[in-house]
Amino acid sequence: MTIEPLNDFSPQVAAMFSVLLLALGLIGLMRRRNMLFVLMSVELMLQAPVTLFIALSNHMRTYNGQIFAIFIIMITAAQAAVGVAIVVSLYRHRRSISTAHWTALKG
Amino acid sequence: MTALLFWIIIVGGFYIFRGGLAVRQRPAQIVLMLLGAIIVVGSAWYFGRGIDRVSHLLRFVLSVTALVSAVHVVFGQRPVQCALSLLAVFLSLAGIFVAYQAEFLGVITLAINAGGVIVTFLFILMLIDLRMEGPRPVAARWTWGAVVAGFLLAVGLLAVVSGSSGQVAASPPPRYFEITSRYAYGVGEGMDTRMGEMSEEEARAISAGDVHPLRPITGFTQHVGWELYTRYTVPFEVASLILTVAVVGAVCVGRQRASGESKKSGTYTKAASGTGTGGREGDNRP
Repeated sequence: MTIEPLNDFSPQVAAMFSVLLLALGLIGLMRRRNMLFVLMSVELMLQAPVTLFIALSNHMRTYNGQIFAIFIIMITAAQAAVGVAIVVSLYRHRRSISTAHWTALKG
Repeated sequence: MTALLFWIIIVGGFYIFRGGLAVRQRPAQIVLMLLGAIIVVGSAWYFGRGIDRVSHLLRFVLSVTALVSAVHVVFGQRPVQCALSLLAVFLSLAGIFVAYQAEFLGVITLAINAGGVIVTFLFILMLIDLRMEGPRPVAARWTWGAVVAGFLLAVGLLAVVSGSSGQVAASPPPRYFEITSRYAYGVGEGMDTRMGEMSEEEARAISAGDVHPLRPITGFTQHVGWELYTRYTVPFEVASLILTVAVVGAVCVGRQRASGESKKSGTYTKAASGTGTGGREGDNRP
């Protein structure tokens, strides 16, 4: 493996960045017990494809990637609103938002 | 691969520096902080020799900031600090988007994610008493399993990314963007002068429908809006429908119900409000 200077922010570099972001979000999603942190990790995971879409949109000189990124951000907002509402209603039921106390939701 | 090594070294050096701040003994603190600072500065100098353009430098610095903050979001212990680290991630991403000439995306990331989502999380942190979560409020589970799973995901996707070497870079840009970006970024050339000396292939592109002749010239936001409201109108409307459903669902789920007797209180308010028609039922009420 040769170590060269970073002379260009190529799409592969952007892809590496978003892969790292996605992996970090997955780690947080699996190891957290608090539902609020789980939501934060999902937000983190959702930002990875947005970054990749925008990088490739800039690289391939089209606007389609930015349009899809706008849609992903819309879905992110909807997910945050609904997720936070669910967390609040779960907290009202049992005074806890730990996932260990909500194993009944497994089905 | 170089970039991956760079990010890992930088993030590791930052956390060595940060660990040095938390150590009690003074010599160990000094050694750890010096080590972390040397790692960060040295690797940034070593890898950054070839960076000459400001936007490349900006992207690298901001993505390092985003990764450091994301590590703190995942492994942090205090909820408010984690939420603020998520805010730092969103701010860095907004900077990265602006460096990618996606100014509109940067602005809506600031407005929606950094403005709305983080405030919602902090609001919920204020509402929920985290001390009632038990003796270990944010106790982790499966940490090593999660790290292994994330590592496997990263390795698999990185194999895919490095396997496709050069294919993405080799794809030629579509024609119409090239023309419109020349309109947008002609230095010292306004639309009037450019329209006068329109070349033959640009005129052909306009007549073929690839380029709208009235496409605005300044900034990329207008291009994005143009695409969003012409080609992607139906997905845009469907997305607004999804947002409406999400708002209504959030209100319905998060609404505070009177416990146990919601039905009775509902009939009471209905009878009380409809005094004109239901006055007799109102009189029968004890």
